Amino acid sequence: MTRGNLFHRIWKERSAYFFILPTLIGFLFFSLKPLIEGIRLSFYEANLRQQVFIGLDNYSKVFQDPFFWLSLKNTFLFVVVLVPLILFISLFIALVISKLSSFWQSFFKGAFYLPAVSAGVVMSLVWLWIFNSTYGLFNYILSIFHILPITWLGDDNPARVAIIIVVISWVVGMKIILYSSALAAIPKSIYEASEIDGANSWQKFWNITWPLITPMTIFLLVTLTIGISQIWEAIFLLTGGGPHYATTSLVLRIYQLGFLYFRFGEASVYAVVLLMIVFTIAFFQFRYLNKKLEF
Amino acid sequence: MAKPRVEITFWGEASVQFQNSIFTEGYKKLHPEVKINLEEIPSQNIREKVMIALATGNSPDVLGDYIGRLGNWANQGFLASLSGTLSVEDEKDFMSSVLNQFKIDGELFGYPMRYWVISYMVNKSILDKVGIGDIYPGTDFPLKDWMIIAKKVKELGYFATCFFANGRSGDYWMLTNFLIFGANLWENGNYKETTLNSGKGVMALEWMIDMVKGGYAPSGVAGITDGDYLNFMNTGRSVMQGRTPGTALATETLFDNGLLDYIPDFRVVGTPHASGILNPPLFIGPSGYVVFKEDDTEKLKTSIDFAKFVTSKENSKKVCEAYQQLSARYSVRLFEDQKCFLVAQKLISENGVGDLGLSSPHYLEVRDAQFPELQAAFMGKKTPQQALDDFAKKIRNIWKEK
Repeated sequence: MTRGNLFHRIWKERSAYFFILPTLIGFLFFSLKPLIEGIRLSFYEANLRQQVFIGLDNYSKVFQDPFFWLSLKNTFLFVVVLVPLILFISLFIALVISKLSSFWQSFFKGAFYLPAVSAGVVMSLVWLWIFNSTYGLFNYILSIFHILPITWLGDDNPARVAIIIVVISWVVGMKIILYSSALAAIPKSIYEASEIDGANSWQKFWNITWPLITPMTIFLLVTLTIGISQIWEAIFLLTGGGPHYATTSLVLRIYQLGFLYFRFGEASVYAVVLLMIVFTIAFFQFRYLNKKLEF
Repeated sequence: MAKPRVEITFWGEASVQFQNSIFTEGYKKLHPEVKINLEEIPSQNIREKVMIALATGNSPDVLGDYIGRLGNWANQGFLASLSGTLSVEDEKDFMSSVLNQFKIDGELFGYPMRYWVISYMVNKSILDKVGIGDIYPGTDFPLKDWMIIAKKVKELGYFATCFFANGRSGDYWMLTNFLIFGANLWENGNYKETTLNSGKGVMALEWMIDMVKGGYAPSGVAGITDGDYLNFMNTGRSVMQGRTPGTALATETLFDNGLLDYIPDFRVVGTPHASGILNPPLFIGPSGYVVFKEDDTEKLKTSIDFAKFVTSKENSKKVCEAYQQLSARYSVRLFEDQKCFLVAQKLISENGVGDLGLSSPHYLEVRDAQFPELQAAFMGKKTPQQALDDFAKKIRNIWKEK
């Protein structure tokens, strides 16, 4: 396309461009500019007082830092466990509530969405109480069944499980709503036709529901992968990255390096690495999972 | 309305106990030509907020905060020097152990206002309940007495104490347990090398781990937060802990809020001490007011004047009463009818103040480095010696990286 053609096309569709302009400006100033600035800072030794160009020194320092690999491993672990788990749980709940009356559907959607609109700090206090190893709710329930108490936030794997439970509770509400809308969009006539052909529930799900909600699944898969890769709030509020770094994620480390220790250059390296990982995963997810789909 | 001659920005700590507008309105009455823009900021956000303000060139003119954070800005060269701005009378009126913490290389960077003191406390109501009120400790509290009480209260289902390692603050509470064995975080003002990994420090950490294993303290220390630590004593589950004397005044509120079914009798006692360790010091944590560097001399002068006004005797009294903390000024005498405060003050004057290095160059990073190593020790991933050695190594790395 020549430059003249491009301008001509923009002019022709000017009303459409006018409507996306506010979002575009927001994206340029609040997403693209910080992103470019972050990449630039990764080549600088930067603190609150000065910025000195040091080439790839920050990269070499970060790649030799055991905390980087540890936080990368933890982040990867959370993505691998949480993404499929959230997809499965939200789809399962959406399927169950789709059979209910509209009143109960709204009730359950609202109930599951509630944690997402509640303040994270308040929610974390509740969860800290639930996970307390001495007087917490979970251990109280375990004690009823004569199961020994678990030091939820005081041991590696229980702490990771605790974070996973909390993140699921915060995230799953929105995914249920999205899956519910995808399920509602499937024409009933397809199910009726399959029933005439004698299809059972599993066959209906596997041959009708699943293919027709795949676009939504891929959308959720990509956005969840991006979102969970940036996991930090639940960790920050519940474990602070502990016990002994067992839940330290890449973004938590970015926060620590940037906001607590003012090592902006190193924090930017983490951000650049995270950007590249997320971009690569999202690219391949769209490229290879998306190809047989009709939107 | 005439345009104000000088306009300054004041960031005060947001608090339910105290409204910073008392300062701004009081100063405005004396100096109607000055306009003060007040912003109240929750203490948990203040570090990030100031950092962003500094990065964007929008720092406040006067800031009130905890010294652990203020020292950080001073060490990075953002604060105006206040040396020579105090009158002789004021200089004498400020407690030297507090005022000295607002100095770096002899240069004054802030005016102190109030301070908390970590004093060891016992819940006397529980001691009475288990029939050992008669061995209630005084300002001298040998560890062997501590153990007698611990065994007794444990038999009746109470925890003797509580430890925590899932913290981002409250380092002073855990460090108080090191004082029991005479282990100090720093010695002789050398903030580049900790002495916590000495034999005494290792002994202290081994003791804490043994107390958990023996059921004298709650398990899962690596996951226990500083909030849990306070709750254990507030709700009568644990009997002896390092606390602030203000806690004793708050017990009625806890009762009123239904958190307790009785009003416990919290008392300040001496920090327990192992055999051969005498008079363990107490940790104090001052808060105060600083002035950021400013090219406009009139604005700078006004900011300094305002910070002095804020920390005046009259204001100090109001603030300390509201926060239930002691004043940094000798002349401001408070809580004279409250035994907890009196005992704490007596202990400070007799035993002195421990060095947390609150205004040392990397205090915040050192504090953050401490908890993961404690977690590792309590989880059994490292021996106490390894954990404390790794902590010492981290401190060396922090200095090296800077």
